[in-house]
Amino acid sequence: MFEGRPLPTKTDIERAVLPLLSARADQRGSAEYKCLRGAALLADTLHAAEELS
Amino acid sequence: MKINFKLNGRAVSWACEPGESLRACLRRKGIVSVRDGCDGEGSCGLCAVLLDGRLVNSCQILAPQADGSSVLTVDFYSKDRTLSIVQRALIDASCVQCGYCTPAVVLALHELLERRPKPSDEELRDALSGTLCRCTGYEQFYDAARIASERMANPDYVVPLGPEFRPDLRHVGKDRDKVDAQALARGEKAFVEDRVESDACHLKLLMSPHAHAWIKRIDVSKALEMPGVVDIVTHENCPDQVYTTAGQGFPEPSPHDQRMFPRKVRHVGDRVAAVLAETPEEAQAALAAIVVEYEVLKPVLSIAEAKAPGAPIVHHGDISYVVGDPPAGSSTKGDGRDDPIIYQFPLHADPHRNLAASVADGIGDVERGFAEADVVIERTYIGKRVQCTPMEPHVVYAKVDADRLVIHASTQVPWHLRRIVSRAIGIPENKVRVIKERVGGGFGAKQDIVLEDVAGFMAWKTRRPVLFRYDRAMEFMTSRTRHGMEITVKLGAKKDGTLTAMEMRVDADTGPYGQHCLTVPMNAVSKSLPLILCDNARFEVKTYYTNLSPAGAYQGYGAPKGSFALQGTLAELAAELGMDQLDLIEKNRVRSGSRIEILRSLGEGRPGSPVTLGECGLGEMIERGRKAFAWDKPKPVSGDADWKIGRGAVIIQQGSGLPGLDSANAELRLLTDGTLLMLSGGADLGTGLDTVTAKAAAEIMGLDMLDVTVVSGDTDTTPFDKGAYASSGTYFSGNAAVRAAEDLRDKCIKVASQILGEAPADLKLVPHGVIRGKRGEISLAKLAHMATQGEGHGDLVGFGNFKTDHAAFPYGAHFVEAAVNIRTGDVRLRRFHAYQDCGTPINPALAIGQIYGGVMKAIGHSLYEELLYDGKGKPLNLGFTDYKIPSIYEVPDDFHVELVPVEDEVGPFGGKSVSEISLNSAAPAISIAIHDAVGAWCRVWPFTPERILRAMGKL
Repeated sequence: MFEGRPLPTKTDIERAVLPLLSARADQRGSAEYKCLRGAALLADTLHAAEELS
Repeated sequence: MKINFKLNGRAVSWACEPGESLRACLRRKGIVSVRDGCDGEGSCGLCAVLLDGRLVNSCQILAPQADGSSVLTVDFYSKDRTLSIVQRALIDASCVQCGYCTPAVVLALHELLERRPKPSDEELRDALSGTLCRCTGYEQFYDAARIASERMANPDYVVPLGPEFRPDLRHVGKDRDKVDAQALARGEKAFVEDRVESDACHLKLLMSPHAHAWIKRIDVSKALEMPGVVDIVTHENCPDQVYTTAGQGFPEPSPHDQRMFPRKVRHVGDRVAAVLAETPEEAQAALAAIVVEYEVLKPVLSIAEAKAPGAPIVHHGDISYVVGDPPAGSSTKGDGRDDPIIYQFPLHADPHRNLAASVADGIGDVERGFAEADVVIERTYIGKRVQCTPMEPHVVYAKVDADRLVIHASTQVPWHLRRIVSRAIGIPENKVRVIKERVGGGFGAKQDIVLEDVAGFMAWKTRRPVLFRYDRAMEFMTSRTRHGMEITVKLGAKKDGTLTAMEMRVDADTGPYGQHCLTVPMNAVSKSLPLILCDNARFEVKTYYTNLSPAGAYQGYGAPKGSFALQGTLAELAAELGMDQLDLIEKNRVRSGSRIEILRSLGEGRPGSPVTLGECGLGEMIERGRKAFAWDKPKPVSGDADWKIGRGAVIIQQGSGLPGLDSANAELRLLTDGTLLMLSGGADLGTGLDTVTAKAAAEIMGLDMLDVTVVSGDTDTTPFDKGAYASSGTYFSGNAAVRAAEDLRDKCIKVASQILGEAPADLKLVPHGVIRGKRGEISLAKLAHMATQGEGHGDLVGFGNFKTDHAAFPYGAHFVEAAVNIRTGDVRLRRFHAYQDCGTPINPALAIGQIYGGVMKAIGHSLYEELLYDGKGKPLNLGFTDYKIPSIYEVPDDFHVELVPVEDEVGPFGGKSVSEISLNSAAPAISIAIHDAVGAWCRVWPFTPERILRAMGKL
């Protein structure tokens, strides 16, 4: 999705990734929350990776 | 199979089962220092050993894996009763509270210092990251590591003095070793399980899988035939008595609504049957052979469901009152099938409508107050259920000795335990002896008689010694939790912030039984409203039965939830008025000389009376916090755009025991070598109460701490004490010790007067244990020797009793700086400062440790701890993997406790209570800080990331 392009902002990554995620609600959180956290995690990871490289 | 390894430096060759854990093997061989807080889940770290120099959880290692290895337990460092540098450092830093985790911490620090003699804070956090401690709040572990590190380089290193108080006294106000710290740091036998003999039988409980059901039929015939089974008890053959499990003074303000085994189960985990067998495995196998037929009923799973018209009824039995009449319009006639409920006196209850207790009162004209206000706001705050989680679960060892029932208990209330168990079983109190062992954390859960009644009954009936230990899942499911509460606060104020009216409406969920059902929710009001001065105030408290887990006492006893609601709503009012929240508090708070009228309405099930406050230290505490946080300057700004910073501050209070209700006693004996034996009724839970009573004796008798031995909490050998609850330890039991010491001192002077031929007024007791007159002197040792050797004076024994109508309030001002991640809802606590009054701190570092521990628990409650249930009332998170409690990683970056003492005129040496109050601040202070950071009010605790994101409108 982001290959060969400058890394988008965290917000843009989250916006792009969020529709691709699915999760199941349980006592740990709603599906909506888990998707949001998943998108945030991915955005943070990509930016951390870029800082390392 | 046979395994050969080195244990603490010596070769051993042991037989073990291939699947046996190393921990089980070590315990079986008498190494008691490998404790157990998680039943082999590997999440608590208390069974740690050093396996070939590496710190491992021995519950996660099979015994055969130790073959050929070196295993070190804490006993390695305790040879010949010595202490290692680490053990000594932990004591010097006041890290030994209940002591249940201490052996594991000793090993973790040794392992760390071995490889990193000068560890960084991060390395310390890593080393202790697998060790859970519920008492200390971890902060003082940093001090211990630094002390140990310094002493490794320089054995003569002297620990810098901490804050000291009362320069006129030798021991009080100065740090001294906690009297049980050395034994606990060495991992010696101290706890209930360490007393269990090899012939003990094991009790296992069959628990209800349903939240609400009649037991239609139960068949134990096959189970009774199984190997090793000694006996089985069910609702068909248990004593036909109802009682309350609440360890409160008699007559208890809790309904007697629980039978040892109920005919109708009222929560998942409720008692159905208990099997006593020779081994735990045999007991477990027999449980599986019991056949039970249930008639499943619709459960009541929330306060809203409990009070809804036509709601399922949790209790159907006859309702009766020992004193007084039922409230008008309430239902008392039972269905003839369910167990009865007996109220000792009216609590405005109506159990057939699920109302366990209620109370309403107030002062002034509240309607007029709201009419006169420029601004009126009304907010509802919700506090979910949280679990006490003492690291040592509930455990009891009961046996019959010389035709008496002897109960080795991990309890906060030895005397209430004796009374309740004797009545439950139907034997007189003189047939029961309760010995309180060291308690591996109580926090309120051990104020209830959670398992001692069944164990006592089975031991008495079968004459076999009985061990009954809750596992961690049972602890979560059927121990006691903090009441769920929904608190609505309405405030009216003038534009300048002057409050014109206050109203608090508390709805509480007591679960299936009514232990503490009036007093805990009432405390939500009585420890929050009196902080604020307002002529017009009213409250209403209603507690409902539900089919969730039993609620009960938990440190703070309702006050944390009342504080959350009131302080939170005050901050919301400040925002509405455009005022600084601390300025609003400052404008309306109690201060020196305030007359607190609302206390007229806030008795514990009886009329209260207004109090005119003496000196109040809140002003000083607020000032110190303002300065430390540079409150009047702009708040710090985060360098990371994802993180926003906010600040919050609250004022808090508690009581010091129950004036007019409780009492404590102590006895102090002078022994023939001039040393002292303190017999205290007090129940030390690791809080240091025995150290308080020892200090009282040493201080007044002019001796050193090592000259005093304390025996406490044994109903045969020590005098009555109400127990450890309601923040009463230092104030009541400590004062009883003071009076016993004063009585002994006066008796010694009287006898010395006769021996020396000098008037008592001319004699003084001076250090070290000498009575000196104008012409001569005599040592306490000689005096005791002469008194007991036929001089006609008899044993020199002092007696002390304490009760009071005086109310002593400790106060506190706590400040938080939090960072909130606006993308994830995560919260990081950058700073937490607690400015705290406990009167004269009897042992300052221990007092500070109590506050760290209390705050840390409340941080867990505020941010992530919550008991969760499915749609049928089944608890979902039953271990530390799913129910997170704080580890050392959650300690705030800048965690600071500062004592601001205001002496109490009645307290021992001016002391007041210290620990419970510290749980009252975190929830409101953090929620206010979150709002300050991101503009969203979080009114449901815990403030999970999801709840924060929802409050921010991101979900």
